[in-house]
Amino acid sequence: MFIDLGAEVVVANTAQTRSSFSSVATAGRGAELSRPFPEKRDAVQSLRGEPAFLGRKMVLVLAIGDFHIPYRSPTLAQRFKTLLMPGKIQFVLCTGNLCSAEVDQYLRSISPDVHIVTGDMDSAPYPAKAVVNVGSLGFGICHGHQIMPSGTTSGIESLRREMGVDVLITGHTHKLAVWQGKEGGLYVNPGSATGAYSTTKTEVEPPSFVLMDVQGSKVVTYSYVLDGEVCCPVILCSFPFRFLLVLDGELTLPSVYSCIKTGRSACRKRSV
Amino acid sequence: MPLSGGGVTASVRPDEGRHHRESTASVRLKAQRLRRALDTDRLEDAVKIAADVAAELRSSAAAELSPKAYYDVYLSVCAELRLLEMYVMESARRGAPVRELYERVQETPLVLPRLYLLVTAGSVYVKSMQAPPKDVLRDLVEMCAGVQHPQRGLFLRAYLSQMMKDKLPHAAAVENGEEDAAKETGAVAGGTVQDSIDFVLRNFTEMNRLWVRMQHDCSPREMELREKERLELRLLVGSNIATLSRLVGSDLALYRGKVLHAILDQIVSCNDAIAQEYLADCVAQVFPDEFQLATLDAFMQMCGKLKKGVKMRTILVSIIDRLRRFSASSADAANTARDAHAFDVFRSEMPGVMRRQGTSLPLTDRLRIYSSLMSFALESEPERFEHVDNVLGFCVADMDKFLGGEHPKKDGISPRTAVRLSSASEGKDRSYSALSAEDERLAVNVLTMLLEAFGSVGSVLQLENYVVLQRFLSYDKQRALAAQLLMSAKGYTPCIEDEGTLEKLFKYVAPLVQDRRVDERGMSEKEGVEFERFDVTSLTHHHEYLLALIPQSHMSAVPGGKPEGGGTAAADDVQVSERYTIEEMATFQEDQELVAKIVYLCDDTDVERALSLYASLRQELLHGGPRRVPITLPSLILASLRLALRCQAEEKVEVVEDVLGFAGECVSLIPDSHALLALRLQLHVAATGASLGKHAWRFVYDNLSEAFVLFEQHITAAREQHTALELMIVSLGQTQRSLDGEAFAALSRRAVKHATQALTRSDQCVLLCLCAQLFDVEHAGLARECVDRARRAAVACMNAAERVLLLLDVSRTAVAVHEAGVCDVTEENRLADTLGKIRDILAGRAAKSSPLGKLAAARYQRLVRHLKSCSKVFEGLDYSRL
Repeated sequence: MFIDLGAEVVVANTAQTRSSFSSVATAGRGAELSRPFPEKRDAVQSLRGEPAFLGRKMVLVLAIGDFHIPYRSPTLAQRFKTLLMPGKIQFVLCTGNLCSAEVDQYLRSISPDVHIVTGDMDSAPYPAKAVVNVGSLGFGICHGHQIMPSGTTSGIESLRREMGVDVLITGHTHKLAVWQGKEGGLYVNPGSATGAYSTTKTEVEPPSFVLMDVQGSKVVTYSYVLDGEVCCPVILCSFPFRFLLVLDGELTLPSVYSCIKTGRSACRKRSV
Repeated sequence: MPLSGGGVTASVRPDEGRHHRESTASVRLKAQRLRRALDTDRLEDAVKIAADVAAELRSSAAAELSPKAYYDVYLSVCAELRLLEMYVMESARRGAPVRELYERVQETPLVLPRLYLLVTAGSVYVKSMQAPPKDVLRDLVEMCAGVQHPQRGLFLRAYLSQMMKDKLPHAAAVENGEEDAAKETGAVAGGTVQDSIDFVLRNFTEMNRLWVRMQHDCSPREMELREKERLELRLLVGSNIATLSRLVGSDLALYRGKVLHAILDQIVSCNDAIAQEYLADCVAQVFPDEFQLATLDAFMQMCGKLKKGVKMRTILVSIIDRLRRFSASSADAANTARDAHAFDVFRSEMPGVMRRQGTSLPLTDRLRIYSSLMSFALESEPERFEHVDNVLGFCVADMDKFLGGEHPKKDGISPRTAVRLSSASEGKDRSYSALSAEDERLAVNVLTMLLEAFGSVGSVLQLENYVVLQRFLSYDKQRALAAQLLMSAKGYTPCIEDEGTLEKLFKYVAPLVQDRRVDERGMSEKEGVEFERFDVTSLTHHHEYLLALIPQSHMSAVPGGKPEGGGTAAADDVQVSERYTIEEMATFQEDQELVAKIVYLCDDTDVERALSLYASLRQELLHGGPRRVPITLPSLILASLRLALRCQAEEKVEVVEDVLGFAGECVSLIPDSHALLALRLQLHVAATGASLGKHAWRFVYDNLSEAFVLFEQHITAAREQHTALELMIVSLGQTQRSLDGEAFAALSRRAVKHATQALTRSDQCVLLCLCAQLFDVEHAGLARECVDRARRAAVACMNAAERVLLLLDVSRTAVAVHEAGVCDVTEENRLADTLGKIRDILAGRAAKSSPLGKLAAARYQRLVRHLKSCSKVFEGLDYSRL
């Protein structure tokens, strides 16, 4: 599957992936895994294939947040700006901490449908939580600094129950994460779009955001991580959870599988 | 050879039309006779008639003609003489000696016709190779001196050069680079390139002299008319330079050694503005780029000797732009330009040229020249900052001379001393008049050009004259330029390594930090806001009585860092919003955010040095006053917190305390009008302290308590209070393990108290729910009490819809507290009761019919499903009642 944002995005796709994906169509939300991962051969094809989903209209939902401009970062990386061209994305769901009107304007230039919640450093009057319906799924956004005890899975899961959404997007930790909860539901944390540090950690994660392709009740997430200036690995993950692929120009197949097994992203961490 | 348009109007020379018609008719009439004579091979008669034709150029009618009309007559005469030439050429080819004709025409009685015929015959003579061209050419060019009437002489010589243009010896041979062959055959034929050049130069010199003299003969009344007429004739003179260029070909030595020298000498010595301007421009345009580069010094020296009032702008812009285009054309060309040290030549010669011209070269023209020079410097050697700086220096020196009316300097200021000038005059009261709009536009253009080319703040900081030039601009332009400088730092590569550089940068961006224009005296208008914590604002109520002992004058001089109180600051805000439009406010915000980003330009590889750099940065930012500090300071605070985290990673424990202390101090400098922002930052300092380790834990309590003080004293709006308290409770929870028991107990008690005292029931309930999750199993009682109070607040809520939603929040909190193992909420049926209350409301008719009720019911169902899925955890819960 291929999301062309107008720049050199690493592409993964294939007919095979598509078929394995569409076989879940009947499974509905929170379905059990019937075929956990594509065959190895499929993955090879998935690196060099035809763009799928070309025949239908893609609904792209961008999850992005924790800019902290100018408080913790001078600007959004040029690579991201070229990726996020106006007119390609239908919904922007922002987890807050924009910290300046400049970013607000920028987000509104990407898409006409922008939803922003307030972060702990935002002085603009954004709401604390927001719910947006895309396709047949409900997307909830909340910055997440209000969750106590902070950063716990149980807190976030309880928030999803409270909000009654299928996909919950939170920020605050500045750490990219996409996972499926025990009781179903997809949890997305797009990390910090500018790679801002967090005052509670001595490690800094690279800049990242998550793009979701929504079709009916299905979601495919694409995680964009800026590693240095060079390459932008794409992590694919389908919801209901079917597969996870970490792709970039450098990665070979075994590392793809090791990523799947350990469930960790292949991005390098940097210190503060 | 077409002459440029714009002929003289009939009113100036009333009879010109008639004279023109008469002359042309006469030429036509005589031409018929000439043709007849040639047709019948009567050469002797033909020569006589031809002389008669040429004599029209000296008739009384012709004397009344303007250059344009004269040129017209001249053309028809030339056409007729060409008939004679062709006839003679034909007979020469058949073997007839040309010499005979050459001598015969000399018998013509009148000088002008004689010379026209001589030139015609000479041209055939040269072409037929019956005589050494060299001798004929010399002979002709000397004979032409016989006509000294400017207009007639000029046209005669134009005829000479026109006729000889394609017959000059060995022009082609040299162009092909066959010099040896040229010399060989040249010796035989009696003429070399040298001779040709001599001939053209001599003719050119004479033509130029005549051209210049055209004007000297007339009365001042006619001066303007004559100037116009002369301009129409300039091509006659200029074509000689084009001929020279063809002759020289690619022989640089020849050009440098002989041609250029002679031309430049002539330009200087003719001492005529029109001629100098036109000919210098010709030289700059006609000869190839490589020649221009190689002889730039000579050219520039010539420029330095030109008459006052010559339009130097045309000449210099033309040569500079030409070289810029050349060096931009290819890498090789750029290298050639570099090797020729073209810029150095401009730098050393330019001041002389400017000095010579003095006030007759206006500032606008000078700035245009410098603007060209700047683009040349940036194009040819962009890595040589000093070149750019030199150009700026030129601008500064000239602005100083032209605008600093009160203390005019005797001599020009060299660009190198320009900076000194500014620093020396700092103390003196030297005032400058403002730049005109056009001059300012040019100055801004010069500066933005280099900003765009450099694209890095670090490089711009190496320029000494940038900031001096900036001071001549108006405040708006200064501010826009400073913003542009900061925006040019696209990648934010750290480029500030020491305090000196930082101070320099702030001189550059001073217009963003100050409200007033930065004038020539630089930062002397600085408002006195040194960072000083030892002031009255740091007094707490314990020692407020001391205020009475402080003289009133000191009281009013409160440093700008922190205004006296929230009230005044709020009043300031009101004033500010009244004084500025929305657009101005937005621009202000954007500009200040740029200033805030300066911290990312500071190099932080070494923690200790970075800290001292940050201290200086804070000092500079504080000059901005209470309007700017809330925008510019937070970045610095958060950058220093990042520094603290790095200290930890690098195990520089001893620096950590300094950094955190610094950050805390910075927070206290945020004006009380922005107390919520200060509170947010204070909590971040606390959070950082908590994540660092035991040695930094004392900062956690200090900053948290400071946050509580801010909350209690300065945050008054209900919504802000709620936000603040929410943040405080969450932070308290986060930093709990780094606080000792008593400290935590004190702070959490306070938090619960504030939560209970919140304005509305819903605020109370939500905040108490948060508070409930603060406590661990040792404080199970407190947690339970918070849940109870929250429930009471919820139940007390008037609105049923809100009540049910709050009760849902309470039960969610209860479940979370229970799951965390803090206390058992199933005791005494607390949870079941809460759920029962929810069920009761939802069962009501009003709730069932409303969409909101359905949403609440769905949420309730989700909660129940969750409870059922972990029935082991909630053993005491009576599931049958759900």
